Amino acid sequence: MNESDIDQLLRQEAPEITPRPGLELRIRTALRQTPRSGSVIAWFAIPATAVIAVLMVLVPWKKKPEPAETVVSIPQASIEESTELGLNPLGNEAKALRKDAERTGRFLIDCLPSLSVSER
Amino acid sequence: MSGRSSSDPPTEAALVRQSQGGSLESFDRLVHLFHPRVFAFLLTLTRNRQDAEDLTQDTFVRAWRKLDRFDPSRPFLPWLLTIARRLSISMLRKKRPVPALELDTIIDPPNFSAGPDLWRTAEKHLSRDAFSALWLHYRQGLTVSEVGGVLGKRAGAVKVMLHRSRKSLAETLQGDTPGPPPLRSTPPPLPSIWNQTQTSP
Repeated sequence: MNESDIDQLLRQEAPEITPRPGLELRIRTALRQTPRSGSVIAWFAIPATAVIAVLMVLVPWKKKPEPAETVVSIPQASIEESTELGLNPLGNEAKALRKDAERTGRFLIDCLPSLSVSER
Repeated sequence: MSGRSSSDPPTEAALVRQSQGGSLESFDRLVHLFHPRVFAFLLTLTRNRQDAEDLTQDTFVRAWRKLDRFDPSRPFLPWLLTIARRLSISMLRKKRPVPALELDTIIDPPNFSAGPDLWRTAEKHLSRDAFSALWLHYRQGLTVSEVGGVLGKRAGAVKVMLHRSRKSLAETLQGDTPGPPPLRSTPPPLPSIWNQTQTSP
């Protein structure tokens, strides 16, 4: 017996596998409980998911400034009566920087005689 | 002369197009046409009638859901069988192996007119994939490339598999050798899908 004989036999022999009669009805019933297509669901599901995602991003964003306000209010309450500079904790540094800038400016002007002469 | 009259039954492609348009009645006709073949294929894979029935139902439900993606110019059966095979793989991964004694052997006995009990021999000696390839090619009438599509293999690989299966069967039936060596990556022999006695549904 060679391969061609096997080929013929495989074609000739016809084993039958038959499902139970109720299977077709069962499939039909299941189909009637199934939505038509996933694409229809996607039209609703995708926008809903997008909205939820946007909300999840935005909600923590809005809440972030709240702790900053509380931090600012605490030093105001404690330093309010003591000094004028207490309103801004960086006031001293700002003044010092301003003075440094003025000195540097004067020094540079003195280093440039032509400019200083023309201005004077 | 060759045109179809209105009383002719619609073709497979026409039924698919109508189903894609939302006609559940047309899809019912497709179910009627194809469910025995899908069931038979799944039984060769699962060797369990209950599992094969469940998977047949799941196959048609999924096909109905995904019908928009199907190209109606192509044959419908290979697409269905591809879905069926994927579902069976998924189910077999989740499911623990069933003891051989619990497996069903509830298949109509083959009505052999002549010759040896070839399909039983094939089932006994060939790997699951090789047996499925034989079944799809000889019983379902699929081409080699369609069989490859269903089994996730190239057409060349399917040709080789069919050739080796035929050769193996020929050697077995000749009786010269006690039994052919199993093909590479052959799983342990599975219980027979053929029933010993006919059982009523």
